[in-house]
Amino acid sequence: MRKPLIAVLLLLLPQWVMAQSDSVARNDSSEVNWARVAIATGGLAAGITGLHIYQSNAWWSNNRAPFHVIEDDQYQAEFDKVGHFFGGYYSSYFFDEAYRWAGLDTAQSAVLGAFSGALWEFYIESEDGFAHDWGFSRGDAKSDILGASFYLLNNRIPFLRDFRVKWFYTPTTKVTEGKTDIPGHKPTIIEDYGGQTYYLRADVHHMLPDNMKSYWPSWLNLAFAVSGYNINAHYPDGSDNFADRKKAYYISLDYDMDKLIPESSIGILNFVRRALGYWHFPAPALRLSPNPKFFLIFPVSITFDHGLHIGAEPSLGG
Amino acid sequence: MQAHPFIFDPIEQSYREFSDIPRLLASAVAIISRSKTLWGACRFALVTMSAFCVGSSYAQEKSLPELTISSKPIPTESWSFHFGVLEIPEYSGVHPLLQPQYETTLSKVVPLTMLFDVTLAYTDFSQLDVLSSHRLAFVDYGFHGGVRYTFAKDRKAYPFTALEYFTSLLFGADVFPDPPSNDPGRVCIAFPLTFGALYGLGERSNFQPTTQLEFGLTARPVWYYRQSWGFSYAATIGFRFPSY
Repeated sequence: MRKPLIAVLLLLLPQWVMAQSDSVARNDSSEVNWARVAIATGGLAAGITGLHIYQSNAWWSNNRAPFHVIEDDQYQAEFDKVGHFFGGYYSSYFFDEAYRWAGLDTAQSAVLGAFSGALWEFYIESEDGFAHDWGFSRGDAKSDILGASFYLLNNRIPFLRDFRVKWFYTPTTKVTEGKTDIPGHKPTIIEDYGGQTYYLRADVHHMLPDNMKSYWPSWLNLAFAVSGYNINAHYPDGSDNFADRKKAYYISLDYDMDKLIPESSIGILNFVRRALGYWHFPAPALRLSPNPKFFLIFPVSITFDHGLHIGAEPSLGG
Repeated sequence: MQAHPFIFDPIEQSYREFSDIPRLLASAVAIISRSKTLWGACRFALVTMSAFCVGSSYAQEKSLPELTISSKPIPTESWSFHFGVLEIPEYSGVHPLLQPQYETTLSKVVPLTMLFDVTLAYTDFSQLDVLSSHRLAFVDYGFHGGVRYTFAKDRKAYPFTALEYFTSLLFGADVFPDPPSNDPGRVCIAFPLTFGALYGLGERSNFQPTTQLEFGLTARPVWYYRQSWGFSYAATIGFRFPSY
């Protein structure tokens, strides 16, 4: 029911290996390079096996139970579902990169990437279903499938190519001070939903008419964002910790690192450059709800209360 | 002896009029579903038919000169949207089904494509009321990917043919709500097998179909986690929008 992002991060490993010799990853040639197919599938298989072993030891070992399903709609005010959506989406991207590198054309790699991403996330969710402390979450699975499906739409429908889902993370007290909902549980950044923000950015430059494109830089975007709000709330008096946990909505500026960083002839640099295109970096933002507020550089909060105070916005994660 | 203008209903043990044919068909389905032998025979027939279709299509391809193969219209990608009904024995009733699908070609000369679909089956038809504010209740949602072979005809030999048949074999996963009784499992791995027909609603000057009507019958063997094998069925109709 959690861990979608660590799955994505561990998938990076074979990708980095594959990117070593990648200088023409974006081509539509129909010539399949079977050596690359072998390397890509081998790398992915190794990555998946490695992740399985890691998760078996870290999360699932000594914690096995008969398969069971849970409903966790109220968990983290459903903000974790956004994380799962992004997990399916970003996993699909990495699979797509691998298949494209192997020589599949853009349509083939996109459909195979989306299918692989959905399958991968579903596999992780299924393993959770056999874990004693959590279970297979229908809502998480729905979000995983939606994320992978959106990746396919995003790639194959021209209008949707102007949009991209991105993520942003700053550590909260859940990780820095070990404040967790489950006593004795060691929190990870993956479960630190209070520090995560997800963006849907629109490529304004590309959407503008040709005669207006010169007025807007190609790397600068507008984005709609969602984050947690009071998502790590803990009340020592015994009140319901989950009662005040909400989602917060923003509009924000955004910039594409894959456009700001120049293209390189070194494969791995190009791979990192493209992967960074799915990350958001600090930028001005306006919180629409709840408690509207302007951030000069989100998530840094600047307040004037008996002097200037600069720090991370406390209401995001608590 | 007077000839009987009626049909014998094996459930009611009586004769019925021809107008009762839908009911008789339902009776036949009920009889088949009660009999493990008949049920098994239906499954066997389905698998045999699919093997036959795949085998014959392969033989057909091998026997065709390369020039005629390339004159078959093979879309580079297609979007489809299917509507239909899904029948899952463990969840009573017939469930409305929506199924968007994306398809892209695997070859420039063989009408073999790979596809990805998302299946959304609602608990009942009232769920399709888009004006209602209730939260949607699904009886099944999942995703599937796999391959489809279209028995595309050579347009030089059959320039005016609008009807083509296809078969597809997919692999994916589905999620179900808790069943009312006899828990058969709520998450499954699925292997949907579909036979269907495409009917071109128009054709370009180079014999490439534009929008196509798509009819499909799907049998879906499934394996429920921790449980057992199961079977579900779907009938769909939809539109396919190919691009070349």
